[in-house]
Amino acid sequence: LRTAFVCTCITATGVLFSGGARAEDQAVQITRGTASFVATTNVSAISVHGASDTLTAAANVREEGRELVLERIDARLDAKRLSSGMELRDQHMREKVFTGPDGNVAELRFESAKAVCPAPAAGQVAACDVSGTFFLRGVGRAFHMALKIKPDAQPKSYRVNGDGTLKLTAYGIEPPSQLGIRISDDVKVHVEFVAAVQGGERASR
Amino acid sequence: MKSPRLLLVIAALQPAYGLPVMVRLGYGNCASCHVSPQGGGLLTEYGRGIDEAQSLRAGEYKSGVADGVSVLSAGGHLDQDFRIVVSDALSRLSGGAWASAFRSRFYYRTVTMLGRGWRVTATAGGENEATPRRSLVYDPSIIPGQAFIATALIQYRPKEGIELAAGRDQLPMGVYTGDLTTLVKARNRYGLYDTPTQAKLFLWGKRWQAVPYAFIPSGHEATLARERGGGVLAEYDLLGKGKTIVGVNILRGTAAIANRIMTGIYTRLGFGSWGILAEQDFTRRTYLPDTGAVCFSQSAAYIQTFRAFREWLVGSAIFERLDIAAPYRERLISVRAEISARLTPNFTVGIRAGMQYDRQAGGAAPVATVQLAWKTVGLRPW
Repeated sequence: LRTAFVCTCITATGVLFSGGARAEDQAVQITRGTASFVATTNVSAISVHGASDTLTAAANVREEGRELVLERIDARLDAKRLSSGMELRDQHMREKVFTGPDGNVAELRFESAKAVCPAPAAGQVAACDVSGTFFLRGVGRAFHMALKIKPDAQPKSYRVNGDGTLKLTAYGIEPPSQLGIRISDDVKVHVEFVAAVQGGERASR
Repeated sequence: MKSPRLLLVIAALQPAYGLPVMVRLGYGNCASCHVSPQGGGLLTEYGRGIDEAQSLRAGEYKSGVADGVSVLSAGGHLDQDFRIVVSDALSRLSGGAWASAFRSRFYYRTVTMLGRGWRVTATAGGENEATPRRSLVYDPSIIPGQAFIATALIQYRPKEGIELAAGRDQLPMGVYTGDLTTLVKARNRYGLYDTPTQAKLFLWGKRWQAVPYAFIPSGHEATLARERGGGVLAEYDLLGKGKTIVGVNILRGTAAIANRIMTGIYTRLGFGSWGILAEQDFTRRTYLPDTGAVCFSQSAAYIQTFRAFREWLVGSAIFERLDIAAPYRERLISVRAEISARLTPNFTVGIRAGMQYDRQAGGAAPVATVQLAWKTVGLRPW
């Protein structure tokens, strides 16, 4: 779930980057973003962290005045690639969270038809919310992420961070419990990526 | 190498605790997996699950006691295990000859839940040969018998995040690797047999821990070295993910033979598959012989960089440095490499090789150790 959220954020970020470059629509591809999650538990000293660097995203972006308009945002993450650093726990996560009633592990996906963000000025951070639909186990639910976009040190490059929270029960998932430790219903998702625009074409890394 | 006794300190057995290397996975403090928030000792059910998952076997931990011995759990109120650690150390003695030493130690550890947050914890140990820390004129070591009580505590946890403990135990320390033979431990009265009578209050939250404590002698110390005092340990998780712990430990102790003030800073850092454990302690001592007080300072540093090649296979490079000012001047540097393989929750194999260099007197003391640790999980031997 967290991964999916992260993917969504990444997608949004890619769109923002593209928008800063030209007025007409441009396609933005993010091929390698990082998505991470944190789930707290009923014991304050224990929380579960996981991450994946296989986030991909695509979107169209155009500049309208001082705003970036992002359209057809599509971010994806392979749920099987999320790792908490412990193989057995990853297995539990796949079985209890990502595996649907049909026994398949569906891709984590975020879609957004349109989002508008301010174009970041040099040395400043632009913030905006991106709303869309997050799919977990193939089930879509409304989701939004707070993005922060900052020009990177490289020309025409931007560093994007996004944060959001999802509820497992919204997807019909009972928060997993193991040996007396119960994961909280809310899972915090974080995404990071850098998008660069070079020449007339946008690129990502 | 100046003294075979020095080698004994290096080659002494590690209790093979669960290690703070788990900070790499975001386990920022010991309360995550150990019954006692100080760490060491018995694991919680969750801790046993992690212990199993982090072994080569990587199986599912099944709660409960072994068939046929459930009566020994007193209806679930009594938890216990046995641990045996054996090692063979090869070291070079004065004169250039090499010698090997076989050592074995066992522990029986038990926790009895009394209800309403109260519990009693005890650890009894025995060994074929005692390995006391180096005895110094201003800090004599405890010379134990072949059996000893490492822990005897009554503990009260009214709620998650608060625990009061009183009895005999090791004092709270920052980087608790389980290896109490390190210079930063052995030279600050954190040796295996240094278990003063104490009262300590553990307070912790998601990102912090504070442990004020006070202590008096256990009665096993040399008469003049019976120390009383107090201190406080406090640590904070900088980034809030359990992987960036920084802390401070301040202790003041007074005894007939010497007084000391120790200020220690430490960090436990985790970066996924690897991490860093580091501690720097500064100790100001006042030695009180009949001829008049002698003040001098001590600095001890410990840096361990570790990497988990597999979840069950962890390698470490460890650097230590000790500097003691005149008139008891010592300047030691120790480097070593270790690798530890957790084959099952019951069996762990460790190999270490290293060298200690005496910069004051010259000479190096190489040592290599192979260690096998076996413990029951609850009362399950396998």
